Amino acid sequence: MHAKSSCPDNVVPFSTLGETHSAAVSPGGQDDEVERTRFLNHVFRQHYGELVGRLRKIHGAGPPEPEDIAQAAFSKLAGVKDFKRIHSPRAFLFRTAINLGLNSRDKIRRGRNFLSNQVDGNFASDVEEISPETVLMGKQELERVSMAMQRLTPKQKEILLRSRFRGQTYADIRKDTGWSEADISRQLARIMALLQSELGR
Amino acid sequence: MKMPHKPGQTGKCPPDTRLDAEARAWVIELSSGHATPAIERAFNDWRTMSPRHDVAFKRAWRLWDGLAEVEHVEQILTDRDNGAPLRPAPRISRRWLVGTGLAASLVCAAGIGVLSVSSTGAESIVLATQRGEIETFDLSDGSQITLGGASEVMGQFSAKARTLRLVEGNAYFDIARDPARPMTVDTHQLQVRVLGTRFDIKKRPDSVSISVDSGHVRVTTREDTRDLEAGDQVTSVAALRLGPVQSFNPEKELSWRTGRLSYIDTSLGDIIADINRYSDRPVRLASDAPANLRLTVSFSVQQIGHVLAGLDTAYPIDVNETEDEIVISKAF
Repeated sequence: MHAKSSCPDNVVPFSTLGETHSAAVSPGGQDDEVERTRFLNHVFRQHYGELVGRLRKIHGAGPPEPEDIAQAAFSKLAGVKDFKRIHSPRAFLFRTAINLGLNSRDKIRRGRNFLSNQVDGNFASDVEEISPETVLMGKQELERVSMAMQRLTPKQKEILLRSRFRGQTYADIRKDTGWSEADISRQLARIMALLQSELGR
Repeated sequence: MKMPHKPGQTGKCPPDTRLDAEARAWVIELSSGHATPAIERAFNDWRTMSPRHDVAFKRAWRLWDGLAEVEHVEQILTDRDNGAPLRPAPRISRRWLVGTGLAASLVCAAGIGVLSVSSTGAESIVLATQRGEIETFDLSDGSQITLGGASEVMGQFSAKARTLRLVEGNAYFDIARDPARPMTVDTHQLQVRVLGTRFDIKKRPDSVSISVDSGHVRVTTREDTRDLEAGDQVTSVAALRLGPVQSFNPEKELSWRTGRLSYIDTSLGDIIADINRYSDRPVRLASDAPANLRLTVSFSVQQIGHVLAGLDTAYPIDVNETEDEIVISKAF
């Protein structure tokens, strides 16, 4: 899939950006390209190692392999036309990598694409095509959800991690944990109710 | 197509709008990898029923999709330290019951829930509700216990065993499976042993009954042993003895968790014992009251006064209310 590197210092992936991503570069001339390459190299050096570490916490050694989806997320970032509008490259990369991981599971990808299309009416794109300016929740809302998430039971955390972030089906989770699918469904419903009640307060 | 499971049925979830609950259920169902074209069509039918449906859906999806933006989400979800989830929610008034000089954390919003961790790593558990309360408590092993009114569970979790005692009242146990740490629940009259399952225990003055909702459990007294599977119920009939295994109606037997008490051919004495866990005034059976009168009845814990008035009319009993208590006696 992609060449892997465990250390960002070993790799400078965007040194020939004008060639590898020419279609994505805005027609602003050479200065823009230089600025863009600088930006991407900076983001890569600053975030690649941490991103792989965060993904490893979620996926373990994989599949999907953390290095693979981290590099695929960087490719997505490099493909964003107006990179200056990306509010937080770190958050963009993590969210994109999580979505890429989910989309590597066919059943989950289908459902996510369906749901996403219901929201924006776009029936062509995959969910990982995140608009850089997309802000799902504000800072305060995210902090509230974070606090509520910390109060979940270990079992609820495990189910949320496996379902929302690893993209495991209920049958997968049942196989790994022994919890019944009805229980898993009920726990997810309860988790979402708790998190949403935090937002509505 | 059936609707996805609706949340909020145990009394644990905070109140919210029906539409939000339905929207969340749809988002969870459609994200689960189980979606089929038929389910998608059913969802579309639901979503296009009104603009409010659409808004509720977008609200739920925004939350589900936005979870990946929560700072350090991977750490939060992989953190199995019990300290964080047991931290008290800031909004609810509560009382503290501190174990023997050990640091204690609150488990749940209402009622009393205390876990204290000793230097050996054993965890002491005290869960209790007041009269009229129904509360679900989350335990550190992922289990959940729902207590009816005026009920209490105590116990200890160690590295090798999980031991609980139903001191008083009734409780629904949703026990996380852990083959390395079997769970026993002691009611004094009998012991229940499980690996991971769901079951209900009702402790009344003269009997204890166990109803298995899922999985299987072993019930023992000093004299008897019964192995129960889902749908089985057994009641202690006398000191140290168990009655035969019978089937039960889960809808009625377990409805107390949503505040509804349901009885089929049950003695007045047992019904009044349960009512006393929810009534604002004690209900007392006078010495001449027909405690063995068998009744089939179902009512909300909010309607206890009306129900007692109805019994007065329908059965040979008198119900007399004072400011301090309600007394049931034989009608003349």
